[in-house]
Amino acid sequence: MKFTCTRKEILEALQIVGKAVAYKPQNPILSGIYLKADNEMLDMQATDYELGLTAKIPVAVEEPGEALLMGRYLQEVVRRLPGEQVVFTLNKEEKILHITSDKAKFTLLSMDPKEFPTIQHFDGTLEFTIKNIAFANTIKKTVFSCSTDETRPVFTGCYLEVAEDNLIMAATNTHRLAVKTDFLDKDCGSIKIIIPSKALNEILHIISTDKPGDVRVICSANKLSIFFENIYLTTRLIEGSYPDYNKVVPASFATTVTLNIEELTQAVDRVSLISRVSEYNVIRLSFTEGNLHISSNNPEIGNAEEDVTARLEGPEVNIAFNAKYITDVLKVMDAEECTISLNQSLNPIAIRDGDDKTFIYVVTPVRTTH
Amino acid sequence: MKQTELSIVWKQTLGKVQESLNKDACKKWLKPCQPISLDDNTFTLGTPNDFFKEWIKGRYVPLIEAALTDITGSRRALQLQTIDIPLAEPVREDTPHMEKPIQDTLIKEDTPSMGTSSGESLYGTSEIAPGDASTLNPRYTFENFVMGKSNQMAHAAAMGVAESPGLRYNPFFLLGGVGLGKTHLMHAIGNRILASFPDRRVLYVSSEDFTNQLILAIRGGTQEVFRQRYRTIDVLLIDDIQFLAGKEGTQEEFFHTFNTLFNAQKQIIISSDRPPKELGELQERLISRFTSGLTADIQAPDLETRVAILKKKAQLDRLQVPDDVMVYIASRIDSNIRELEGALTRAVAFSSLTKQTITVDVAAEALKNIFPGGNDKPLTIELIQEVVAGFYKVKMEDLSAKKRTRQIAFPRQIAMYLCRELMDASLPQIGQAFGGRDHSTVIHACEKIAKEQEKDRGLQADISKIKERLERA
Repeated sequence: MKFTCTRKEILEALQIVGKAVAYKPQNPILSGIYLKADNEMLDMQATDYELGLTAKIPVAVEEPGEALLMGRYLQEVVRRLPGEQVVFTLNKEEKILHITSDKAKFTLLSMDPKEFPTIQHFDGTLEFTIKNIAFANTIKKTVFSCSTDETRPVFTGCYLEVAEDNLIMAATNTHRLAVKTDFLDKDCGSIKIIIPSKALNEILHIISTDKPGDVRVICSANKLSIFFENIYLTTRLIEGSYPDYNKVVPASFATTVTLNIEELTQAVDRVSLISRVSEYNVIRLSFTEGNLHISSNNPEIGNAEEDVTARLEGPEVNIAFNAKYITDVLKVMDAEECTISLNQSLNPIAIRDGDDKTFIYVVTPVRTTH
Repeated sequence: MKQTELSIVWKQTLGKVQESLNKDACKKWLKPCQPISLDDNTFTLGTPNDFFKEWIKGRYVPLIEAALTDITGSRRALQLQTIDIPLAEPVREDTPHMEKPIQDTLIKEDTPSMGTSSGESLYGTSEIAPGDASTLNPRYTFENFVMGKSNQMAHAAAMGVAESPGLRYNPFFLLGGVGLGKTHLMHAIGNRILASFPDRRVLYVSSEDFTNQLILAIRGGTQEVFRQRYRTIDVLLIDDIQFLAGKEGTQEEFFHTFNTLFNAQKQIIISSDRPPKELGELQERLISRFTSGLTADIQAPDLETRVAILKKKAQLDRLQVPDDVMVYIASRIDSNIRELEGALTRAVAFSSLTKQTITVDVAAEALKNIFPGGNDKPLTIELIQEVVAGFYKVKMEDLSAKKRTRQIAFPRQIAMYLCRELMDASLPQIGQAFGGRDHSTVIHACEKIAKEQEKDRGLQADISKIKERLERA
């Protein structure tokens, strides 16, 4: 195998593919990145059996072939190379890959590429195409709400439901819930699956480009894959039954408050400076006519308080939250104003992004003695 | 003085005290206390109960007072007062007078579910579809299993099982030490069955995964799904059954799974590193079921088989390795095939890195850290027998003969003891080498020598002399 390519192009691809390299693999083969040069294309692959990624870039192939390299070193080496062009040459006899760029030369040991479980495309039971910007927005607005606690696997992933031309994604860690609805161009059938948040974060990273493009999504009962530009990602799904989140969204609210997102974000951020060190990160919100008073105190550090202009409809409410659960959602909102809907101080609240009816975030307050 | 300041003063004092007091004592006795008040002359500290009060009074008062003086700049007396602080939940450091906030749960355990979202989990609890080979490793087949004298019977029996699953040997119990190919044979059976009967449901699972899936099922209330998964299959391959030892609940579940499958004439294949009878912590009823079918054991491979294994490995990986190097490696590692193959890979990698053609010398250099002892002649049971026989001036054949006179029996026991201690050979393996004796005889010998050696200096000296001779051999 011998080929030449630009450092920038191969580095970008390696950094994406590298996300699927297993760090503590059961099988050393999985710590590798698989390279295959053929037909003026270089195909790069990595998998940890949960997540698989492939990227293709055009290269000048002098001699087709395949190789399997230690993923970590390949990435690090390419990242630090001095030149713009890189030449890769595999010495098949000695199983060594030579990398030369400008005046730098590396020789990396390789593994047997025949042992690598190359990533296969599969036929799904359901397939849809969606604009990358829309899909990224849907993922961005939900995936942050997932749990990281592996003891209850269903909550470490996002629930995806496709029903005709509706696409719904939901995520919860049992204390908060984010649901985003989107529409597909045509009726695509129906499926209900749970996608691991790790894979979704990778998808989000891959498809978050300024350039509009189409993402092709293929689902089966136990796998999901996407095609986007030169990237193919495939992931296993999480099995289990997802709770009916519709049941926990309050049917009605007594109070509705409208606030400027920018102002609210900054105020919460400042006030929670004081509460952040404690595990619960509690901030108190006091909604009154025309005003929201945010405060926090920590007996070891001090107090903080700030007022934000608010338009209130309905009775006044005092309530307390984990500040992170509020800032997390404010970060992913796009509108200028958000609306917070409340009942009493111990009932869950809903936050919406401007007048966007397709997104809702529900979070429970914390009970404190004060 | 405000609460905040008070707690800061106390915290600083604690920090100071900690410098001269051991950490555990500080954590145990002083951390649970709470400051109550601080005025010009006294500092009042609340203790969780009278016992704490007395304990602190008797030991730490001067320390605390000194630290307090340092912190506040003026001398104050320490007063102790018992207040009611629940000890079970020591008040958190960072919120000395605030109760723990509670984050309400939105999605509760009893929140109804959205209808099942099927999907193969990361934990695999979905039903196995006919012909699904996802639990099998396609690289483990009969074709690349190297057969030798030591595994002939296991191999033949495995072939038999694969040809007529559920009919001939059921359950099929595979027995063998670490790295001798149990798992390889099991996957090979599974792969062969799927090749000949593509509509069968074959499931390979390690005992540990079985346990973990059961735990998840219990936690998620999906035991029914779990049972469904295991009781609807045609061939169950369960690896390393010894892991179930001591896990009562899992054994219970497995027992019922076993019965359901067995009564429906489904093939069950079990592997273990110990014979069923030695799986002490397993329930009797399970053990008796395991022994009702065929038990085949895999012994450590002999030299010829080991060389054959290396040749196969070299052929599969397309490595060019001279025969004498393979014989060399095979003669040095005699129990574990994984280590054997690892040694070959290492030797090849070493030669390619140092750009030398691979020879026995290069291999020896590459492997010098792996071989135990680093002596030239590999330690074998035969060698130990030879040296012990030479030391006690008895005939080597007599060690494996039936004779039980003291002149022979004693050296024999010593030789068995050394085989166990120096080579970590398995009991049946040692028994076999000493004229087909039972493994319990070997246990007896090892225990006896170990015990006598403690009392008998002469014996100790003898044994160390024999060990020296072994090293020089």
